[in-house]
Amino acid sequence: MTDTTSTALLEIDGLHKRFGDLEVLKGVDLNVAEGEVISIIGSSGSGKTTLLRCVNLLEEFQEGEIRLEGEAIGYREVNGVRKRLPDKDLSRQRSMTGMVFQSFNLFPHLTAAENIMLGLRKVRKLGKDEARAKAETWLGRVGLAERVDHHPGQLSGGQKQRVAIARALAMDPKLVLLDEITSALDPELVQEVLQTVKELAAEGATLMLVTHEMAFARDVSTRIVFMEQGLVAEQGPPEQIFGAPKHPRLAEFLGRSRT
Amino acid sequence: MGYTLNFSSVWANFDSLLWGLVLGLFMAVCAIGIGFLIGIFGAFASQSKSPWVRGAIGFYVSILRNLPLLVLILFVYFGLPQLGMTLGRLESFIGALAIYAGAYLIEVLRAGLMSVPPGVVEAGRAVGLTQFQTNLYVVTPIMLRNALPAMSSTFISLFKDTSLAAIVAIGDLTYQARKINVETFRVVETWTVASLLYIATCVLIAAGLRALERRYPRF
Repeated sequence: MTDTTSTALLEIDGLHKRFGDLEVLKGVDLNVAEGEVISIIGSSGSGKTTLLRCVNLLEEFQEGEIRLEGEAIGYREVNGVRKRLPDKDLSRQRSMTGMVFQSFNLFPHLTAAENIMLGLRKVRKLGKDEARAKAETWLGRVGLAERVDHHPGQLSGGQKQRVAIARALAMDPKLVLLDEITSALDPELVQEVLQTVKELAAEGATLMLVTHEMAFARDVSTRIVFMEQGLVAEQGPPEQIFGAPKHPRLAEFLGRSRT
Repeated sequence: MGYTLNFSSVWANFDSLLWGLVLGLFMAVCAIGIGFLIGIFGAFASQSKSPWVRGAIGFYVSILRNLPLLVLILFVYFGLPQLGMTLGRLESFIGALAIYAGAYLIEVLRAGLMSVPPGVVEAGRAVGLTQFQTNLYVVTPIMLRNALPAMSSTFISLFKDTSLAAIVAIGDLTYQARKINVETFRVVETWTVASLLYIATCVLIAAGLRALERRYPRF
């Protein structure tokens, strides 16, 4: 069931992450192939968000390796000593993945279009007009053509999150990481954001999302990954995970999520 | 009382008061400009991982904030030449005011820096901006906007502090007023006009900075 072929876009091997004495990830192995939509589920504290943040190099990790298109990210070995890469390399590697945060994290001093243009201009080195055109195209695709020149303070939560999605996608990342992107939204705004993600999935984007929206995960994902106490406890296609969970903790977790 | 106000001798010298005011504004702009650069650099340096850098910034701020400005001005003006550094009186005064302004602006800008949401900084990094680019394009604009109200009052204080330049015989507004006072004995009239010029200028600066605050809403 798990794609562990050499064509994997993302390969995570034996990932360990500690915050001081607390070990949050205890040896995670996970491969993601191009075009897959992976939903990571599990109770709070299971390490889902930390896993995404390690992939985007927002967290350091102590053991294991993460490879993106075969390139080890975050660290290199120098004479047998593991070293964090310099900032310039980390930035380049981060720009290969897109990240959408629970709390949107739009740049408050920039308009919707400028939020998208900043990375295009300074990281992708596009000219102003080209960046603007691309920003407008993406805002149109997430249904915000009318909000191009609005500041984040003038947008609803759902609109902000759609700008954040456009900001991540406009960079043409290999992989998009979505971290509980509907958790901070009012219930009536959740659907517009989920609809946007669904469209991206349908277009073939490779997505890795942490979510508590079980119906959505079942609907949109090609694979579900269940994390428990810092490890991948079970994974498989949605029908299998939701229909016939094997791990006792997964069955219990799903039972609680349905109520 | 029997004191009759007579402003004619003040009006006769009014242009020297105005030129004094212009000189004060010039000194304030120079000192604030340099102090602002010290402030931005110091505020970022105060977030450094190195305890030595943080310690150096803390030392600078605590020395300068606990030293009366007048003492600093006299030290720079009279003391530095003894140590082999000869500066013109204008340069020495602007220099003294600038390093004093720097200490206050480090504190003000550091508060602005703390107000920048960490998530927004992460978003900058996640897009692929380097740390320097994130500081330049994301952190600094938010920091400046959020520090603007506190910066406004610091700027106005620093402008008023230019009146201390009279002590080293720089021809600012206070110096000119004292000269008119001594030459004409029109004490009340002279200091009334000088005071009104200071107050009017400060009110105008404050209004300008408030307009700027309204133009860019807080984040």
